[in-house]
Amino acid sequence: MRPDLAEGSEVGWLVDTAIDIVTIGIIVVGVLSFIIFIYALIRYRRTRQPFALREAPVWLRRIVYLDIAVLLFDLTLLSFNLYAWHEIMIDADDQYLLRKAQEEGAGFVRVQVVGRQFFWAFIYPGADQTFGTTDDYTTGNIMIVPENSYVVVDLTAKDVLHSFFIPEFRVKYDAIPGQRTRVWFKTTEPGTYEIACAELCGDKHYDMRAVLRVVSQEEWEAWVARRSNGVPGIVSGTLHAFGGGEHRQKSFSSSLSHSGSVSVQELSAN
Amino acid sequence: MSAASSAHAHELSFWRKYIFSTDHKVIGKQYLLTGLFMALIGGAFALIFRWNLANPGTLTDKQYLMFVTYHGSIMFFWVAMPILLGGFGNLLIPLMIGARDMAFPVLNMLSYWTFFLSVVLLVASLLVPGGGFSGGWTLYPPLSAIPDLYMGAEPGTILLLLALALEFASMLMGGINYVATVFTMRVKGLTFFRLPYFVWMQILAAFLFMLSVTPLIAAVFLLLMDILLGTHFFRVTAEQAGSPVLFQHLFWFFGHPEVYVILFPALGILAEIFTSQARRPLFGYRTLVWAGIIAGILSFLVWAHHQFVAGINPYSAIGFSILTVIISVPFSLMLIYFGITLAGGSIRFSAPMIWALGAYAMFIIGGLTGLPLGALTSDIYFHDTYYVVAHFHYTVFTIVILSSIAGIYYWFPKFFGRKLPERFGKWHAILTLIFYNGFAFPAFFLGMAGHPRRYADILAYNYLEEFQWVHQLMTISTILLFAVQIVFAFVFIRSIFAGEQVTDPNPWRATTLEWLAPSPPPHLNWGDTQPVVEHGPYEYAVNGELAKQGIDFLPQGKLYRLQKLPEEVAHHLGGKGEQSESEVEKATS
Repeated sequence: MRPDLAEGSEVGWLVDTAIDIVTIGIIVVGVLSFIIFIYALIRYRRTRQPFALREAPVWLRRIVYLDIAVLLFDLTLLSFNLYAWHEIMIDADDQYLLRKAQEEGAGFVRVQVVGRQFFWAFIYPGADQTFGTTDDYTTGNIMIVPENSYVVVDLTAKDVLHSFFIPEFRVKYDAIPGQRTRVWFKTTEPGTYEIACAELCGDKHYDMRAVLRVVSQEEWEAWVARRSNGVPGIVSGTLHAFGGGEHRQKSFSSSLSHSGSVSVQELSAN
Repeated sequence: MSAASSAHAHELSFWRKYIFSTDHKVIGKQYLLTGLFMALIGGAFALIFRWNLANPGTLTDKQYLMFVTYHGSIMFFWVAMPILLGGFGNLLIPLMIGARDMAFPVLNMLSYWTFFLSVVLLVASLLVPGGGFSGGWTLYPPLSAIPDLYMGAEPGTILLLLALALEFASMLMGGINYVATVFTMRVKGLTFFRLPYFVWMQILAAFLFMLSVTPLIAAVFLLLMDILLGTHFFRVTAEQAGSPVLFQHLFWFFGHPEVYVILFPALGILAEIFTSQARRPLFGYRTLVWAGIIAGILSFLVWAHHQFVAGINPYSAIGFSILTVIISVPFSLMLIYFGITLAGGSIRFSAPMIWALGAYAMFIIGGLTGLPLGALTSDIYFHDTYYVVAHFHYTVFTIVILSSIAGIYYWFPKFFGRKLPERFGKWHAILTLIFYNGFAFPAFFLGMAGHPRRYADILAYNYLEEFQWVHQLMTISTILLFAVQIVFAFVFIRSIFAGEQVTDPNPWRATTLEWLAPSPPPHLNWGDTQPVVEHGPYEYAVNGELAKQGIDFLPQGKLYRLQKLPEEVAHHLGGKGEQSESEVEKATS
């Protein structure tokens, strides 16, 4: 039922494995519990057992030890979760990811994401690789990242709480006004994915949809070059000009590839 | 309402008897009926927004969110708490401990009327210009802190917050009363470890509520100040930054114990029904009490598991996750012990028993499905999806509807002197369970698919589009579920006035003290008699002489006729203070 995991997503693999372990565990225990429960109801119904036993039979009293088993079971299920959490949330600071990217020969991209009512803005650092300079550029409701790269996303929100959710990468974290939070994921192949808002943010909450485009290395470089050569950056204060969420755009057809790059206008149309 | 001693009873005026009554039973019924009425409203709201989910565009986006918000708030604060604490607590605690009324009867009356005022404010908040608040029952700021900017419902938001504050105040009065009553007014022989499990659960719930509600009342008032005075506790502007996450801490510090505040009385109801319907002593009574206490303490240490992906320190998330998983130990112990109480019993499948067994089965699902949410990594994916919706409906619907209705079928004869139809009760239980699973179980699959909560319409997303039919299935189930409850409402009202009268004060052949009192118990409960406790609460399956006569249980106490009546009782019975001989009356069995 889960949407297919984005190819090669490390975070996604960790989260999926954690989900699978816990889900299989609770299904096994749940089914066993129901079998015992229904057996007990049938076995000890009034017509078969007209008088109740005052004391529990000895073998039943031993079932109390089951609670220790419950604790062990819980902690077993939790152990992979703790490992995965450590990998995703604690170990993976920027230094670690950068080093990993260099070792693997993969790219490393940083994007700032600002959630505001019913609109996601994606800010790129520009040629100087530093945020807050004049060559920063911003896209609205479309996030473009290169293939085979580690992507670090700095999250914040302008107005209310939002939550940055890419189902196919199993990435989710709240965007909080006045606070910076962070998620990361790894891309492999080019592809198109959906970004959703997972925290109630107002009446158009369900329509706060953005698109994640993972593009090939050449497309990415062409796009960066074009953005760096004179197309002025958009300061985030004027983002409302995009009018996010007004129209539903479900089509992914305005592809980057037909021109090799996209203009601000094309991006805003998405 | 005919008191057994009505022949020479001191008559109270209609207003004092039914409206501004200090009688715990009348107050309990007021709470119960108000709660059931609000349950119909909360259910109707669910129906309205579920209709919108099956047919997107029926409601405006704001209306959709408003109904979602009010459904949650009403079900938690105006249904669960009045029914389980105000209703069952008031009706049963004094009778179960052999008292004649609550420790503070006037405070008790005040508690209900404060609650009633909160209902009035709640309704008003829906009707004022701009409509009701639509930022979710969790009230998260900044969305709730700047209503004129974002949701256009400032008067509605303020009224809802005031209604919440009043509701908490009323439940606090109730909680203080329960604790004082149980600590000071137990009859002779009723030690703490002879209290029925239900009473234990009620006082634990009262303690949890008293200890946890303070931060939330503070949070609500800080939020009100943000709205009304422009402070920046939770609001963030360019100049001044409050902390939205602070509100979440305050809210969930209350929110998690709050779940146990309503869960504990529900477990108490199950314990009473299981023991009497399986004719079995409650297995491990003392251990169960300690499990409740430990779970109560742990419930204060797990609140941030609602915030794993909400900007808390990732190291503290590890601690909260481990504690959350540990809290499943006392609860699984409770369920296992309840299961052992059933196994070895002689199970009667009466209407309340089917409800209680259904609740038990649903608790298994609700408890187990909490694990993927308490486990911090899988929660990254499940957080704020329909998986959460499914999980808390398996716990909270079980608490609020299944357990409460089990209790209603069980104690209805005691408090109304008439029966609810038994056959109807069984069908009611079975149909409710089917339709309930029909709407709640598919939500697990939606959650697995990554479907976020509180979406008015899923057609904006490619990856969700294919699940529209699941929403339609859930909506059909909800409609049927609601229809069954409407029928029950009619049967319930009819039974109050025209149900089959009960003659036996103890139709379930149960042990606890409330079954010694006449049905319905008169004002001040015990007339010119007084119960004295001689046994533990669950002396079922007894051997010996009685068993040969076909009596398999020992009532917890016996009724003794009083030589000298307490003053208020004498006054109520018509001034016959010095009456009767010291004859010992056998307990009715």
